[in-house]
Order: sequence, then structure tokens, then C-alpha cells
Amino acid sequence: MNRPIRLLLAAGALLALLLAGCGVRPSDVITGGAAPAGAVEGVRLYLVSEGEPMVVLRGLKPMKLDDILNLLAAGPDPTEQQAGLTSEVPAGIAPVKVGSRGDSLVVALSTEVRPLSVLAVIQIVCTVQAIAGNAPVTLVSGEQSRGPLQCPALP
Amino acid sequence: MSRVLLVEDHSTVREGLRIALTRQGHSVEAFESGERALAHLAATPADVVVLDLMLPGMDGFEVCRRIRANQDLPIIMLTARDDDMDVVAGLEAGADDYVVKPVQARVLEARIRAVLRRSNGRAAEPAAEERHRELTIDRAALVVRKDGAPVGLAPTELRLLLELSATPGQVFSRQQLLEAVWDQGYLGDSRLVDACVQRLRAKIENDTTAPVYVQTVRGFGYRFGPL
Amino acid sequence: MTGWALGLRGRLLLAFAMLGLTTTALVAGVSYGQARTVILQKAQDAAVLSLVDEVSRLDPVRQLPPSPEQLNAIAAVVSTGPDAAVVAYGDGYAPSGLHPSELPQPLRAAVREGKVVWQRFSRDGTPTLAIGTQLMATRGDGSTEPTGIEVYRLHPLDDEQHSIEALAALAWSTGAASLVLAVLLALLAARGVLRPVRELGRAARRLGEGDLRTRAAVQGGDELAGVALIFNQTAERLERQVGELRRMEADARRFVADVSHELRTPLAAMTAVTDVLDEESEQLPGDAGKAARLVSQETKNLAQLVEDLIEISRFDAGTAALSRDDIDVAAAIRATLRSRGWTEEVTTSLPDGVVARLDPRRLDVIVANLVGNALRHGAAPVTVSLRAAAGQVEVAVSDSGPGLAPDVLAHVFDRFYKADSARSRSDGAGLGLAIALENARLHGGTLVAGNRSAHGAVFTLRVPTGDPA
Repeated sequence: MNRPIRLLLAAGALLALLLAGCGVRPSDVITGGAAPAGAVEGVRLYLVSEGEPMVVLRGLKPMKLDDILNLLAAGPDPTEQQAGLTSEVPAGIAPVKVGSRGDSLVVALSTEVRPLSVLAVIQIVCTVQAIAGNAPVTLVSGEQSRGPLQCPALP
Repeated sequence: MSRVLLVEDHSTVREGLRIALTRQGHSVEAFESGERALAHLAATPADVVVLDLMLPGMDGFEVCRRIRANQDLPIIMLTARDDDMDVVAGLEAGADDYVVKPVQARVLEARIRAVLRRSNGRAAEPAAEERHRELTIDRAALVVRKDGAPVGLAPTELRLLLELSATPGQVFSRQQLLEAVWDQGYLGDSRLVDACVQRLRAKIENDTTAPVYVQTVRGFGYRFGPL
Repeated sequence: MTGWALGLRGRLLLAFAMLGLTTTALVAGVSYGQARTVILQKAQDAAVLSLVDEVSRLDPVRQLPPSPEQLNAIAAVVSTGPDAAVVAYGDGYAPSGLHPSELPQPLRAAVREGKVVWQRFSRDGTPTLAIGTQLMATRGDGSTEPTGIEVYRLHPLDDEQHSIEALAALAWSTGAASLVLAVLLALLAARGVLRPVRELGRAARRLGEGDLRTRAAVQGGDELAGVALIFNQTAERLERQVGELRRMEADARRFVADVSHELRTPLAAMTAVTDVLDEESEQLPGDAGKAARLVSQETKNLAQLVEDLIEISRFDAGTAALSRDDIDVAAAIRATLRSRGWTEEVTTSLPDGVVARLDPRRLDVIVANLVGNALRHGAAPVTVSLRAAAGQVEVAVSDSGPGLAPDVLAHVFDRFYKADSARSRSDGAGLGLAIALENARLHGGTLVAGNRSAHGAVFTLRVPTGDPA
């Protein structure tokens, strides 16, 4: 190719580049900083939404942990069910007795601990720690025990 | 036997020409300058002059003019060929003919013979006077008169006039005139004719710018009349 | 396409234009890109921060899943500005004029991960920024967890689009202006170079055409001025040398002319008596007679040679004069033949009535030379023919001899050229044809040599009749 042709082609390519980059172009999803957080009031329970633990607030007056766990055992209420929330915590864990042993909390369940699913365990542990703080939680039932456990950091 | 007056300044050329002309039967008087030649001519007549143009002192043109002023002697110029201006000037000064040096004796001899024929004329012409307006031409006596007065014409001029007036109205080409008057035909220089015509007109025409007797016919030559 | 030949101006133009364009394109392009990013970023950051701020100031959530009232309350807060917003929880949402389906799907998927996200997309032809975020709940231990409440807002970017478009327009116009400027500069530069080049070209052409006095103007001190200087020096040297050569040539010619003239005087004396020698040589005994005839003959030859030399030098000096007369060409040729005694030996075809305005003496010289050559070097029968053509007179002299060999033909008109070097001097010095040619040229005519188809040479003289018409 002789010189003038080559020069023209180069100019053309440059022009094309310029034209392509004009205007406001659509983009992919851009991630920024952390989402804003707000305070919450009310009784916290952890149910399951789409396979992930999901916090739920019951507009109730503050109550004892034992009672909260009994609520948890009762499962989602109709509104929650409509929102697609489920629970893997069997109703049979109630009645529950919460005690402490040293630094950690001990939660005595009325059903066997070992057959509980991971999500159910997380539900229970997170519900407990939402009230009781960061102390590790051990679930016991008869001779069976699971723990000490922590509520996993949720995204 | 004719008497030749030779004027030539180069000694060897003069001697050579003298020898050649003498052998042809002429009586030759040779001079190296125009003044001496003129002085001799005043005392002793000659029949023809052979005159070199390049002379010390008085040049050939002046000698030619002086001779012409006094007599109608035939004059042949000797010239070197590159001097074309001199040829014309010499013819205008009155020379009848010219030869170019170096010249062979027989060539010069032929010219001398021709020019002498012109001056001697022919006796067999009918003895009659022709009248052409103011001009009277006597072929036997070889005399031309204008308004009764004789006109002094050089032999060649006379010969030319006789030739033209013999058949008035007929056109002669220069070559024909060169042949008839100068004996030179196609090898001659047509300027001889032109110069002679000019001199003739100067002597016989009333108005040389509108010639009546010797008329030019462009592209052809000359003719006598028509009147 | 084999390369165009671009002149200097074209190449400069192209180079400058390319340079201007690429530079402008780069600079404008880069700054445009930067500016665009900055503009967008500012707008986006402002919109995002505004939303995040509002969301973080929301009243605490009391119920999850949120009641419709709660959602509406949140929606009311984030919809106070001009931008459309929607609050969603799971599949539900607070009605607010913006339907969640209008949001780009990748954005909704990313919101669940707990970070503020945004995405640009085109909504009804307008570039729009979609911002989305979770409302997080703080936990007892300080960490946060997603409440499931998603807040979205759409911020139109048309203002930014206009600004960016204005920027783009500026970039384009700058590019165009720079192109125009580059072209002008190129033209200027080209002119600065081309003008001296053209001048030099013109000077060179004039020099080539023969004007040795041509000089180029030397302006400035650059390479072109250097070339012009060299040109001038060369031209001056050329002028000097040519002048030198011309002078030498003129000197040589003058020498020949002078010598020839000087020879005339002794020759005049000798020529006058050659006839005497010829006549007397018969009386002289034996060798003396031969000697006399020899001297006589050679004197004639010498005289002829000198005349020829003088004639040639007149042609060279340009002083040869033509004295034209109206002649009957046939009669003139016949006279030539007659004067040399060739009438019996030569066949003629000379129609009468062919009249031309020629110099009779020179015509005689030409014809005599041609016929003489034919008789001497060719073979009988020798023919002289005359023909009148349109405005021209044609005289052809042909013989029936061996003709002219090709190498002879090429040089036959050269001075002092004799085809057969062994030829005796009595045939002349070799100037005859050269003089004949010059005589022909003086009349404005031509003389050409050739061979007849059968055998023999033919020399053709063509001269214009000289009619004033």
C-alpha cells in the first residue's frame, strides 16, 4: 500500500474511534460503598427467605428471649408467609430455656439438636444474639449439643 | 589593335595582366595610380580602360567618374568579389562591366572584346533617324539626340538603348540583355543591366521616377516605351 | 493503484493535515473523554449521595416484612425530589409512579448484596442513572444486615448529555479549525519552498534554451539558496566557456578568410598568365613544357580552392548575399551546361516556362557542381531534370553509376569530404557539395542526396520559386 492510502486509513480509524465514544453510554452495574443503615425497633426474628436467613421484625413490645424463641418456633405469620418467608426451625423446639454457662449462652431445646438443619441453627443462634449480644451460643438437648456458635455476618 | 589603359597598384598583378593582354594583341599602357593614368589619358587617347578599384590616392571610383565626365570610353572594373558594395558603386560611377580577380586572361579578353564591339557599333544598320518623342536615334552614326541636343552615352548605354529601341514594346529579360549587350548570358551579373539602365535613364528621361523610354516590367525585365 | 504523483504542495498539505488532525483528534478526544467522565461522575456521585443520605435518615423500621404503610412512608421520603423513585420488598413495592420492572434487571440483582449500586441505561431515549440500595439494619454487634427493603431512584442525565454533546461539538469544531489552519500553514510552507523551486526551474529552462546570461535569484541562506548559487556559478562558467569557444571559432574563421584574401593577390598575378604558359608550353622542350602546364593547371586549381574557401567563410560569417532575379530555370541550366561544354554528354528534361526568382550565379554553381560530380564519379547516362511543384522548383541530377554507399551518404555534404580518399586532387578539395548545399539553403531551399532504385545516385535541389504570393 502506498503512503497516501495508508494515511487515509489511519485517519479513518481514528475518526471511527472518536465517533464510537460519543455521548452518554449505558454502563454495567457499578458498585459503590456500603448501603446505608438505619436503626430498627421491635422484636427480631430470623426466618428464611430464598435459602438465606432473613431478619424479621415483629412490632411487639420487648420480650424475654425465651418467649422470642417460642415465637420463632411458631414460624412465619401470614404476612410473612405472603412475603415468601419460611422457617426451618421446627415448632417442637418450644418450650425453650435459656441459661448461661460462663461466657456463653446455653439454649435448651425441647427437640433433638442434631437433626436441626444448618439454617435452623443459624436462625436460632442469630435470633438469640440479636438480643443477647455477641456471646457464643450452645444449643443443647439432652446429651446432644451444638456449639458454641456465632451468628454469621450477613452481607 | 586596341589600346588598353591598365590601372592596377599591385606590381605583379599589373605585370601579369600586361603580359596577358599584350599577347592578345593589345597595346597596353600600365599605371599604378589613378593620377598618373589620368594624366596619360589627357595626352594619349585609349580604346578601353581596365581599372582596379582599390588604388592608393585617388580611388577607382573617382578615376571612373573623371573619365566618364570627359569621354565615352569603355571602362572595365577589376574587383575582389567580396566587395559587393564596390561593384554597385563602380557601376553607378560609370563602369561598363567588371571582372573579379583572380581572372584568367581569356575571360578578360572576352570582356574587352565585347565592350569594344559596343563602342565600334555596326555599320550595316539602315541609315535612318528614328524619332521617339523628344528622342532621336541615328543607328548608323550612333548618335542620340534629345530635343535636338546630342546626349553623351557610354558605349554600353548606347548599345543597350539600341537593343531595346530596335523592337519598341518588346520586353527583354535581364539575361537576354546580358547576352545581347554584355555577351554574358546567364552567367552574368544582372546588376550590370540595372546599373546601366539607371545611368541611361538619368541621361534621357525627363523624370527618372516615371520613366517613359526605358520602362521596367516587373517580374520580366525592361522594354522601350510604349510611348 | 500505482502511486499518485503528489507534488510538493500536495505532500505538504497531506502531511500537515494529517498532523493537525491526529494531534487535534488525540488532544480533543482525550480531554473530551476526561471531561465526560468527570461530568458524569459528579452527577452520579451527587445523586447517589443524596439518596444514601435520605435513606440513612429514615425513621427506624418497626416491622419486617414492612407494612404497606411503612413502605409508602419510605417512598414518600425518597420521592420528594424531581426524580422518580420506588421502594420494593421482595415482589412487593410501594406504588409511586415508577414500576420496578422499569429498572434494569442486573441492578436489582446487585442491590441484594448490600452495597449501593448504580447503572446508566436508556429510558425512553433519555440516558438515565438508576441508583439502588438496600436499607440495612444495624445489629447489636455493630454489623449490618439487609432488611430486604430496596430503594431505587432514577436520575435523568439529559443535562449531562447536553453538556457532553456541547463538549463534543467543541472538539469537532476545534478539529475542523485546526485542519483549516494546518492546510493554510501547509500552503504557506509550500509556497515558500515552491516559489524558489519554480524560479530555479524557469532559470534552468531558459539556460537550456540558450540564454546563457540567465541567473537565478539567491534569497536567504537555506539549501535552495545554495542550489541557486551553484546554478549561477555553473551558468557563469558555461557562459564564459561558450563565449570562449565562439571566440575561438570566430578567430579561426577570420583566419581562414584573411589567409584566403591574402592569397588572392599573388594568385591574381599568376592566373593572368596561365594562358600564356599554356600556349608557350608547346614550344618548351620535354619536361619544361610539362612543368609549365603543371604550374598553369595547379594555379587554376589553387585559385578555385581559394575562391571556394572565401565562399565558405562568407556562408559561415553570414555575409553571403542573395541577388535574386526572375529567370527561366530551364534556360539557365542549359546555359550552365553549354558554358562548360556538357551539352552533348548530359540528357536533359527541362520544360520551358518554369520561372523562379533565384540568384542565377548561385544556381549555376549548384548545377555545375552536381553535374560535374555525376560525370566524374558517377557514370553515364547523366540526366538533369526540372520540375515545378507547388511553390517550388525541383532540379534533379542523376547518374547510372554505382550510387552512394550508406557511410558515404551520411557524410557526402561534409566539408573536405571525399568519398574515396585516394581520389586525385584534380577533382577538387571536397568543398563543392558543401558550397552547393549552402547555396541551396541561402535560397531557403534544400539539397538532398540519395540513391536511385535501380542503381546510381540522384541529387535533388528544391528551392521556393520566391513568388510574393
